[in-house]
Order: sequence, then structure tokens, then C-alpha cells
Amino acid sequence: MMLRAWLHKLKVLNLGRNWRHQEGSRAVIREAPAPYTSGFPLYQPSEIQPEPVAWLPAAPMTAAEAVRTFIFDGPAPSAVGAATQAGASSTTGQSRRRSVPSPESLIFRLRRALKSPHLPLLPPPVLDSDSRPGLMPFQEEGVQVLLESDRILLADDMGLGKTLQVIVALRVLFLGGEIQSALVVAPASVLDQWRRELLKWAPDLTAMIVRGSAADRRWQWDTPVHVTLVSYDTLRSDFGGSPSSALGRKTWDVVVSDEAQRIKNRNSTSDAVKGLKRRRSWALTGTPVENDEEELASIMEFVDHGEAESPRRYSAGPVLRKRHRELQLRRRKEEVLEDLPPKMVAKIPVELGASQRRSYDRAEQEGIVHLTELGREVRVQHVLELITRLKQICNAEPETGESAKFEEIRGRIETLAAEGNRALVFSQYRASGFGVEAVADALRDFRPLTFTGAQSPEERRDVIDRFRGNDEHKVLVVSLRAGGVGLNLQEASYVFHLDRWWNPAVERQAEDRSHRFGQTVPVHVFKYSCVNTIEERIDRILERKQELFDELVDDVSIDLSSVLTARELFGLFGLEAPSGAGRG
Amino acid sequence: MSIQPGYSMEDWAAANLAHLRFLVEEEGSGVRAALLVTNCHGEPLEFCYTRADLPSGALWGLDAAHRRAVAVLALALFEAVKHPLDLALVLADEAPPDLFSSGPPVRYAVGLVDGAVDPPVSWLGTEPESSLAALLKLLTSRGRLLEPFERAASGLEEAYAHG
Repeated sequence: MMLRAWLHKLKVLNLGRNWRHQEGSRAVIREAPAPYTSGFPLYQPSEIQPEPVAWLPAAPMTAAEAVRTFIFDGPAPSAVGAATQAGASSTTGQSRRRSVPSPESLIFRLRRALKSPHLPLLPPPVLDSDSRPGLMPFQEEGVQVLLESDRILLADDMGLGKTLQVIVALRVLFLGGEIQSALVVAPASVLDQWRRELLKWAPDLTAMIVRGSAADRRWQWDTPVHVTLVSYDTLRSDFGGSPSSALGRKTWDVVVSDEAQRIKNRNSTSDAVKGLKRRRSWALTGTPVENDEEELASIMEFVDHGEAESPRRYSAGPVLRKRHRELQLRRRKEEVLEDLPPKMVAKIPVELGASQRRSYDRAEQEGIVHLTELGREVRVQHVLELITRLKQICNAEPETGESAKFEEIRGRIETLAAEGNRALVFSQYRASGFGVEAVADALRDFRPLTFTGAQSPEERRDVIDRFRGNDEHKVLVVSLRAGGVGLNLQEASYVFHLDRWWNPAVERQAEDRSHRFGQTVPVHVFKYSCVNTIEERIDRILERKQELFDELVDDVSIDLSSVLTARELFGLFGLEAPSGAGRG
Repeated sequence: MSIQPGYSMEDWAAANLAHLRFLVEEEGSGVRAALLVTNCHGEPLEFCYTRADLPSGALWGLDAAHRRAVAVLALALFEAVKHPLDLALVLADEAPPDLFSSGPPVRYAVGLVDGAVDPPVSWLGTEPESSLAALLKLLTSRGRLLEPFERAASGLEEAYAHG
């Protein structure tokens, strides 16, 4: 009614004499009533047409057109009332005849002119039944930050969907015409996952993994696609930091360094990544690196790229820390994933069986004798080698294959599999006898699959597809190094650490394959160590140092010698660290 | 971390925003009007446009004719639009001072947008509900408040490119 009153007021004010109206938006054009075709009579309320009606003045505005409406309800807008437009312009003698573009070309041009240039919060276009609908608010925020940043270190906790955020941002930029090329540099083990995620969340983008023979890689680099995917090793091999190479001359609109801790050291790999010409640098890591400023400096040299040919150099200090604060976006799970189911961690002490105990004790005694015999030549490295050997025996007795851990895990998996659950088993060892292959053999009743760095990328992709697609495979046994990062394995809600890495960050990365965005049930983590063995002794020391450990050690690649002092390492075997034992 | 305290994109999933433009043609012989409806993501949902000739001669002052043209064109667009609207925005520069002087002719909130002032939207009559106000705040913070108006102008240009 407000509309009607307003309309009435306009007419009473004598807007004109020759009105045309349309009914709704269907642009049915009629001449106005005869009394008003000349002069300046007042409109009478009785003359107001029934709603819906839109009035357009023809005079004193000498001509007016009916409203044309385009509805954007799909790939192309539909035109409503378009056919009547020409008629609209010719219904009055006072109208100027207009040349109306063909509906097809007009629709095309309007679609192009009116499309959102940013689609800043566009939900992914393809959702399967297992996917959550759209992005979570913190992910939308992350996408927005990516869209607005030509340099960013996205350091969200593992499992918060950094890949997804990048893909959505890339899609927005590509669809908006803001970028024409993007290069994702990632560990080889996750390249296929990147491609799958691209297909899922940005099916309108083309992607290609650069790998294979040198000849294959040449045409792959030259193939025009939206997103090029390459491993760090392949990039180093193909580019080598040479600005004169074809790759060195190309300027990428976006370069993404996934698992950016891979470029924390200044070496040929990080040089290759930093040497790429680029307009945007996005580094992704779930591992905070601020505790080692030299490593952070290397990553920041990639992120904070300049226009100059040579990368910007950073060194530890307040300048680096300030820039890091400016360029990092980091959200923790507990801050943003209130609905993420809990992760329950249990340490499982295991008693060695008789055969395994004998083998272990003998190896330890012989090892200590060997260390002692080395005298002044003994080094931390010798201790670490002994620890490795003893840990392997803790996994399985080398001669008989007896394994208290395998038995314990098998018992648990029997129960959880019977309840319809599935499990991931991580080991840092691949070799038969005490690693991935051995535990897979021990769990053969559950149709385990194995995922290791020895497999080709195609084989690893096939393994993941089979595990996801067939729940008869109750167990996926994963080499920690090959599968610790980048994989999304929410299908499993039980995680077993057959052996310990001694580094919470590494173990968390592995656990977060399951405990991540999209997980709907609580995740149970079991960490195994054998009673009265080197595993237990190291664990005790680390527990004492836990607070310091959490604070200072949040990096995926440090080894035990970085965590424990030489004195502590030798002390594990009741030995004094000789002066100069060092770490070598 | 939420986009706006207390709100998520789901709250605005069904929000339809109208952006109106009124552009005087180069030769000053007419006014073109457009109404672009977008969702909260800025995606176009509907585009309506029309125009009116301005009179020549001294009988009508150009200012008065322009004001009246804008008012009537706005009304026509409001009538023609198919999508239910939650609020409509008009650029303050293009809205005559007496546009909607007796209140906007629609039930939803109508705001005048001036990017040079803070807050950038002043409401004619009823203010929008708090969730829509939060959405506008978000769009403003992201520099997206004015952008759809540019598209609406581009749409008008395309629509009359052969005129």
C-alpha cells in the first residue's frame, strides 16, 4: 500500500501526460488512457491501474522503455520481456526507435558485465554426500585473506583445510580473471591429493602434475593449464634456480609452497622455489616454525618476495619477527573447530615376549660393549644407530618375527573392526621384518593396504582410492615419512603408532590425517612402547621435558639428537658422554 | 573466528540485495536506470533496467525532470524486480534530495550509500534488521559495498551499447 500511496503522490504532482505501464515485469506495453495524452491534467486516483503495475513517464520525459529483467538462475541469465522491448519503443509516436541488440548477444554481454569479479565467499560448486556444505567461517576468512594477499604464510593447524582454502581462492581469482597461472609445489606424496581436491572443489579449473620422464615433463610444463602441480624434487631438477631456463623466465601469477617446511633450509630446493618469478607467494604449513628463526627466515624469503630478480634475504632478528607477524595467518584447531570430535591419546606399554626379550637384551648389551670399545672415537651418531637397532627389535624379533606390539594391535583391531571401525597404523620403518610390511602381514586378516614412499605416485593414489572406496580394508599401514603429511583419511578413526618418532609434531601430523576437518567421530590414538627398553627410557626423559619440548620443538624434521643432549643420549645406556662426542 | 560476531554466511544465505543506479546519458537526453540484485556473495541474481527520455525545452527544469525521472524509474524497477528483496541501496550521489521524501515505496529497507562517510549507509525510513546490518558491515570491511554498483553501471552500458 505504501507503494500505491507513493505512486498516487507522484501522479497528483502531475508527472506527465502520456504514460505507459507494464504489468509485472512482463513488459506488456499499453498506451496510457486517452485523457492524458496531451496537456498536463492531474491524474485521478481512480485512474491508477491495479497492482502490480509500474509506471513509466513518456512525457514530459518524452519516451520511456519498459523494464527488462534478466534472471540469473543458471549458467546464463534468462531474459524476461525481451521480446516486447522493440514494441515498447514503437508504441508511441514520440518514442525514438532504438536498436535493440539480439537477445543472445545481450545476454552474453550482460552475463560477462554482471558476474561477480571476486565471488569472495563463493561456496565450492560440487558437493558430494560426504562433504560438508560449503566453507566454515574461519575458512571463508582464510580465503578472503588469500584473495587479498600477494604474500601470505598460511599456518593453520593441520587438518583445518589449508588446501581447500587455497583451491577456493585460486578458483575465485581464476574466474574473476585476476590470474592466469598457478603453480603448486608440494611433496610428491600429496600431488595426487591436490589434483583430486582441485577436481572436487574447482572442477572448472584444469590441473596437471609435472612428473615422469624428462621428455614428459617438458611438454607438461608447456601445457596451458590453470594449475600446475609439481614436487619439490622435480622442481629442483627442472628449474635448478636458473633464471635463464624456460621455467626461470616464466612469471607465475601464484606460486604455492605446500608443506613449506620443505624450504626451511637454504639449499638447492628452497633456492629453486624462491627463484620462481611470481606475483603472489603463498606458503602453507601446519607446523609453526617461529622457534627456529633461521628456518623461518628461509621460508619468509619465499613468502616476502620482492620485485627484484634475487630473493629478499632475511636473518634472525626483530625485522624478521615483525614481518612474520604481519604475513602469517595462523588459526589453531581449538580456536576454530569447536565441533571437532575429541582426540583421545593413550600410551600403551607392551611387555616383550621371551624370544623378543632375549634378542633385545643381547643387542643392547652388545651395543653398549661396542660403544665402550670405540673409546674416544665414539660419537652421538653411534648411540643413535644403536637406538634405531633396538627400536626395530622392539617392533619385532628379527629371527622369529615375534612381536608383542603386533599382537596387541591385532587384538585391538579385531574389536574395532568388528564394530565397523577402521584404523591407520604408522611406522617409521619400511623394511620387512619390523616395519610397514611386517605389521601389514601380521594384520592380514583385516585386508590391510600399505602406503609407503617406495610406491610410485600412481600406486599410492590407487592405495588411497581403494582404502576410501572399500571398507573391507580395515587397516591402512602407512610409512610415517610417506603418509605423515597431506593425506586426508577421515575414514579411519583409530590411529596406531607402532613406534615412536619422539617428536610430538611428527606424530600429530600423522594423527591429523584422521583427526581433521570432516571427521565426525572421536579419534583414538594409541602410542606403543615396550617396557624396560630404550623406548621406555627415552619416553620418560621426554615426559620430563615435555613442557620445554612443546614450547621449543614444533618441527617435523628434527631428530632425537636435537631433542636430547649428548649427555642424555649416552646416559640412556649408563655411559658418560666423552668430550667432543658432539653430534657427528 | 567468525566473519561477523554472532553471524555466519548461513545467516545471509537467502539475503537479496538490490543496487540501483541512475545514470544520465551523455547527451543529457535521458536517464538510464538499473537494479542489480545480488546474494550475500555478490553473485548476480537479477538485473533490471530501463530508461526515460528527459524533456527538451524550458517547460521543465532539467533538475526537476531528472528528479522526477529517477523517482519514477526507481518505482518501475522496484515493481519489475522478480526476486524478493531484503534491502535496496542507492548511491547518494545519484539520488535526488527529495527521492523517497515521503518514505521509500517498499517495505524493505532502502539506504543511501556514500563511500566517503562513515557509516557509509544512511537509511531512508526503516533500518534493516541486525543480521543485514552485519552483512553490510562485513561487505564494507571487505571493500565490497560499492563494487556491485560498478557492475550495474557496466550492465547498463552493455544494455544500451547499440542504442
